[in-house]
Amino acid sequence: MTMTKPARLVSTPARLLAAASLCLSLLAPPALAQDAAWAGGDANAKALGALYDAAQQAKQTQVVIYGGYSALFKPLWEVFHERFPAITITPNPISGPRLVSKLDAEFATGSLEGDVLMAGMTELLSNVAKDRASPYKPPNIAALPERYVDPQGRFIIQFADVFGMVYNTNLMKADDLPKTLGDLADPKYKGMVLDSPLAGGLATLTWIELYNSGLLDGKTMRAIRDNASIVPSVTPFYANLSTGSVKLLPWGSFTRYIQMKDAGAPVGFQATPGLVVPLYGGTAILKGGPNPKAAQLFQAWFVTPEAQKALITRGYSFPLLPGVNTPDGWPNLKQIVESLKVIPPAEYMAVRGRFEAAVKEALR
Amino acid sequence: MTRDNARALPTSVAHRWRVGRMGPWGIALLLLAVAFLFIWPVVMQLMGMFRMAAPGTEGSWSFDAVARVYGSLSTYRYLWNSLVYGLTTTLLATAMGASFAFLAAHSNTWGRSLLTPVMLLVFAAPNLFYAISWSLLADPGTGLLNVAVRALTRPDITLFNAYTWTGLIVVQALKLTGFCYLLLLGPFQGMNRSFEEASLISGAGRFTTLLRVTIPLMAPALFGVVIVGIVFGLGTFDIPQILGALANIDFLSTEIFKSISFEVPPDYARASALSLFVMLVLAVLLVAQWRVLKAGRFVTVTGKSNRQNRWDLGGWRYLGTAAILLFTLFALLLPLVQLILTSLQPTIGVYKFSLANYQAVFRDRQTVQAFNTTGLLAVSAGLLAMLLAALLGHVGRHAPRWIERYLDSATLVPIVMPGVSLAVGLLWAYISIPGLRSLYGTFWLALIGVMVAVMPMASRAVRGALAQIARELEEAAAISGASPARVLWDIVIRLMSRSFLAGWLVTAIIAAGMLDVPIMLLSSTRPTVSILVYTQLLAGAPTQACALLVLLLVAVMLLAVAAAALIALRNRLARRQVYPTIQTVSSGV
Repeated sequence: MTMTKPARLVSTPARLLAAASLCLSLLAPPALAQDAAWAGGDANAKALGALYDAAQQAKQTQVVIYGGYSALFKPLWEVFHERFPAITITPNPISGPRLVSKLDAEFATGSLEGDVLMAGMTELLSNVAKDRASPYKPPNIAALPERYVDPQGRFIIQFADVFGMVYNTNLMKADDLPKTLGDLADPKYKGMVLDSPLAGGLATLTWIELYNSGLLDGKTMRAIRDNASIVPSVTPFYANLSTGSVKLLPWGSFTRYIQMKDAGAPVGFQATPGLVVPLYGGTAILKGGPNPKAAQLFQAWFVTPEAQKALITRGYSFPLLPGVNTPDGWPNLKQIVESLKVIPPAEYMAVRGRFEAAVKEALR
Repeated sequence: MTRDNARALPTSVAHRWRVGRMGPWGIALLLLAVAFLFIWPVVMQLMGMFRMAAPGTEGSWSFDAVARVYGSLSTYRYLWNSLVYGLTTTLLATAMGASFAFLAAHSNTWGRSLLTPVMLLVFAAPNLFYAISWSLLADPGTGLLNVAVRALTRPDITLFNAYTWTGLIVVQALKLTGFCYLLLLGPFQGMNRSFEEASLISGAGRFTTLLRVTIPLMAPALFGVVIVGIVFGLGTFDIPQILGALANIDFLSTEIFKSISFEVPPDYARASALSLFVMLVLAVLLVAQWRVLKAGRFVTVTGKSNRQNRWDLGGWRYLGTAAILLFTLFALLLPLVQLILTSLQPTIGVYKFSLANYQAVFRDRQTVQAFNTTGLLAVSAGLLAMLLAALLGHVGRHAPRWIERYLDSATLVPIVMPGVSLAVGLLWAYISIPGLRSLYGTFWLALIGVMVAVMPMASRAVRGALAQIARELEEAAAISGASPARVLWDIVIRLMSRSFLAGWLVTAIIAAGMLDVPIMLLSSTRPTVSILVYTQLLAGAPTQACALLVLLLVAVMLLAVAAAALIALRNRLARRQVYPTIQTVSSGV
C-alpha cells in the first residue's frame, strides 16, 4: 500500500494564522456564556453567572464546607476556583463527633462559620432534621433525577461511592473471593478486617442496606463478625491491605481502591451482587452561614457536568448526573442500586433504628 | 526551709508567703479562674454520663449509660488490658528515660550528646505514624525486619510481630521514653552532685548511691512522669488502634473512640463513664504522690555552691554507649527511615520513590499558612502553659495545703478526658460565656484551649523542678523587698530554667501535633499542620500526610537547634559577665 501526499489546500500564512487563533482560543479563560457545555447549556451557564455576580456583589469570597468529603474532593475545588476565580472553597474536614458538636455549638450560639455541610446520608439527615438546612433549589437542578433532591430543597445528593471487596492481589485471586454473604464465614477468610457493625461506622452503613434488602440475617451477621478482625475504624487498614498484612476488606471503598490502584498498589476490587453496597453523599446549605450567596453558587455548580465529571477524574467517585458516564471497568452503579431495595431518605433513620435493634440482638 | 519552718515565721512574713500579695480576693479569683479553665470543661463532660444528649444541648437525665457500662463484664476486660498496658509501658519508659537522662546529665558515656536530639525526634514523631511505621517494620508476614532476618537466617523464621502484647508494649514504651527523658533531664541536670559524693565518700558503692541517693532525690520528677505516663497510657489511642486491633486486644481508649466517633448521636455518656476509670486512677496516683512526697525532702538547688561534675563510669560506659545506639536504632532510625521512605512513595507499600508528595504539599496554598499557625500556636501555648504552671506551682508552695493540692490536681484534670471529649468540653465551656463567645473561631480561643490541653504536662514539668528549689532562696528575696512577680521571675523561673525550657519544648511539640482542640476552636481558614495531615488521611493520601509530618519534624528540629543556640549564647554571655566580676572581687580581696 502506498500513501499519497495530500494536496496543499491552504497557504502557509493562512495556516499559521489559524493555528495562532486556535492557540489563543485554548489559552483564553473559559467565558461563562460563550462555551456553556460545562454548565449543561446556555440557560444554566447564565444562571450560574448571575449567582456568581450576586456572590461578588455581596462581597462573599469563600465557601466554607464542613465534612470529611470536603477533604476527599479537595482537587475539585481547584476546578471551581478556575471557573469562579473570585471565590475559593475552604474545606474543613471535621466529621463525626467533632462535626456534631461543632454544629451543635455554632447553632446554639448563632456564631456559624460553615456555609455548606457535605456528608453521608446519616449526618446530612440528622442535621436536616434539626432544621439546620437552608432550603435552596439551584436553577439547574432539573438535570438531576428527582430522587436525589429533597422535595423541600434542604439537601441534594450529588455523589456516591461503592463498597465491595477490596483485596490484595498478591495474596488472593478474584476466583477465591466470597460469592455470597454466607461465604464470609468461611475460615479461609479469617482475619478480614471489619469495623464493629454495632459502632455506626462503615459496617453499620453497609449492613443497613443489606438488611433492608432482606439479604442479611442475624445468623449471618454473627458468623461474619466471628470470622473478622474487628477494628475501631477501617481507614488505617488500607495501608495494611497494600503491604499484604491484611488480605481482604469485605466492604472497602471503591474510591480508595482506585486511588491505591492508580498509585501502583497490588489491590483488586470485586463488586459481587448481593454483597456490594452503594453509599450516597450530598450537600446542604447551612442556615445562617456567613456566605449564603457563594454557597448557592457552589450548590448549583456541583450539579453541573463540569463538577460531576471532575468527581470521576479528581474525586474518584460516582457522579449522579445522567449523561456523565464512569470509565469502563468501574462497577455499574445502576445495576448495584437496582439489586437493593431503595430506602427513601425520609425513612432512612427509621430503617437504621430497626437495623440497630436487630444487630444488637444478633451480636449480643 | 520546710512548710513547718514557714509557719514559724513572723505572722506578716508568713502571711505574705502563704498568699503572696494577692490577698483573699486575689486568691479566690485565681482559684475560680483555675476552676473555669481546667475543671469546668471536664465537669461538663462528666455530667454527660447522666445525660441523654450532647453537651450544651437539651436532653433528659438518666442512669442508663452508667448501668450499661459498669454492668458489663467487657468493661472490666478493657480496664484490665488498659491498666496492664499503661503500667508496663510507663514503668519501662520511665526506667529507660531516667537511665538515659542520667547518662546524659551525669556520666562520661560516649554518645550522650546524641540523646537529647534523638529523644526529641522520638517524642515529636506522631503516634499514628509511629504505629504505622512499626506495623510496616514488624509485620509477621511482610515486615522489613522479618524479611531482613529471613534473608540472613532461615526463610521460616518470624522474629518480630508488632501485633502482640509484646509488640504493643515495646512500641508504646519506646515512644513514651522520649517524653520521660525530656521531663527528667532538667531535674537530673539541676541535681547537686555533692549528695552523691557524700554517699560515695561514706563508703557506699555507685549502685547503692544511685538507688539510695540519686533516685530518691528524683522522686518528685519521677512521680510526675509516672502519673502522666500511666494516665496517658490508659487514654492513648493510635498505637492500640493500629497494632492492638489486629492482635484482638481491646482497650478503654478504643472503646471510648467507638462510642464517640460512630454513634449517631455520639454516645458521650458511655465515653464519660469509661473515662471515669482514668480519673479514678489519676486520683489514686495523686494521693499516693501527696503521701510519699513531703515538701522540702527533695531540695537540691540551694544557696550553697553546687557541684555538677560527671561520673566516670569506667567500663560501664561502653554498655551505656551500646544502649544509646540500640535505642537510637529501634526508637528513631527504623521508624524515621520508614516514615521518610513512605513520604516518598505514591502509596504505602509501593516501593517507587519520588518527590511528588513534597511537590503536592508545597503546591497547596494552605501549607505555608498551616506551618505559621502551628508554630505560633504551639510555641505560645507551650510558653503560656509553662508560665501559668510556674505561677500556680509557686502560689501553691506558699499557700495552705488544700490550695496546693487543689491547684496540683486541677491542672492535671484535662489529661483524663479523651482528646475529642476535652475539645467538645472546651468548646461548650467557652462559647457559653458571652465575652468568650465573640472569640470563637479566632486564634486566641484556640490558644487558650491548647494551653489548657497541654497544662498537665506543663504542671508536671514544673512541679518536679520546683521541689528541688529551696524555699529559703525565695524567702530571702522577698525579705529583701522583691515583689512576688520578681521572686517568681528572677528566682523560681531562673533556677528551674532547664526544666522550664524542656517543659516548654515538650508542651510545644504536643501542641503542634494536637488535632482535636484546633479543629474545634480555630477558624476553618487557618488550619494547622495536624488538620492538613488529617485532611490528607481522609482524602486517602497517607503518603502525602507523611511528607507533611517529615516537614513538621524538620521544623521542630530547627526550632530545637535555634533554642539550643540561644541558650548556648546566653550561657556564654553570662559567663563573660560573671568572670570579670569574680576577678574584680578576688583582686579586691
